[in-house]
Amino acid sequence: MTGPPDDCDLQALWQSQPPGNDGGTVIALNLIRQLAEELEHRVARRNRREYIAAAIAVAVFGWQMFALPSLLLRIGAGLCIVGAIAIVYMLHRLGTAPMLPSELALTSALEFHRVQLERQRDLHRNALSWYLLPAVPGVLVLAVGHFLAQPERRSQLIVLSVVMFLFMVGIYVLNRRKAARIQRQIDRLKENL
Amino acid sequence: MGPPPDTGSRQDGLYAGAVAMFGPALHRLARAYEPDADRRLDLLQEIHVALWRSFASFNGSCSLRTWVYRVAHNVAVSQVIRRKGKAHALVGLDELERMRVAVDHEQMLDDRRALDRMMALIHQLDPLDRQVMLLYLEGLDAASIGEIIGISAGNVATKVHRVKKVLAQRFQRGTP
Repeated sequence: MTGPPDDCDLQALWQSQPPGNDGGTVIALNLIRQLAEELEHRVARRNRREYIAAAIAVAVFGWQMFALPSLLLRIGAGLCIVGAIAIVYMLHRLGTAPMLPSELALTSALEFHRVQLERQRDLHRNALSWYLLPAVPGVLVLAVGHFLAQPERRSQLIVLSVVMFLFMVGIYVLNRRKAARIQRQIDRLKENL
Repeated sequence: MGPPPDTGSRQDGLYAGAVAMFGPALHRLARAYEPDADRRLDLLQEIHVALWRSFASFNGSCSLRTWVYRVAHNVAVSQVIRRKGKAHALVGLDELERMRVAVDHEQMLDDRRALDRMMALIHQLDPLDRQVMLLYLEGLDAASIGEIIGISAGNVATKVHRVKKVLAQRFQRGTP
């Protein structure tokens, strides 16, 4: 004969777990301070990486602005610089969580989860405006510039342009799908309010 | 004007008190969110750092327990969201209720195995239901669970009922 476990049995079993070998239950205060500093350094390193990526894009297209043979191509390179800076700026602005330490405690778990998911959803939903559109003018002008400058390679340039267009459409569709999936998770959370 | 000179020591004191009371629970929570040992240690450290930093502005607007559990669950959920692309699909309590499982009574006699099985069950749950189950297993009442998670008492009652049902389905004991 079998029977269901007593509630208290399972709770007692759960609470009786030994700390094990993965760190114990107490972390020394000086280590906590050290870890907090490391966390700040990690954020600073991530920001630095974004700035370096922007600097490389500016350097490459900046050099092209002087090296390319036609005015149209130079304008295209200039627009690519503007686009790269805009994308990095938006990535930095949208990707940085402005959550204060105290907000972690003052926000209920469900609300916190919802806000995090909404941030992610917006990032994917608005990918067209912050990720794709800033790159379009530069790429388009460069493509037209090459098209006019190298008439003998027009067929290759057309194929390349179509591939790039399809690639961008693919990124857009994938992001919209991700946004829709996250929205379904948000809707499920809202059902519990 | 800067913070009062004793802010740091108050923050340290609150943190030390919280860890003394809830350290083992935070450890269990980290286990319940992260099966991988290295990532679990990272999560646990992240929770402790967030907790220590949060106490700089602790104002007593809620109990220490609510404060600690909210910080811990919110940090852990952030990790789940960050890693969701790599993780397997998570399910809700209602889906677990519908799944039929074979219960090995011999296995249930062994606490260690029962705990492993319980942990595997928790790892399958989506964040909301996981939070309810963990807080229930920590022995919190429905009102406290509702305050930490931010759902109505009625909703907590429904979910706790499901938690008990799922646990009963999977942890039936064989009588000697």
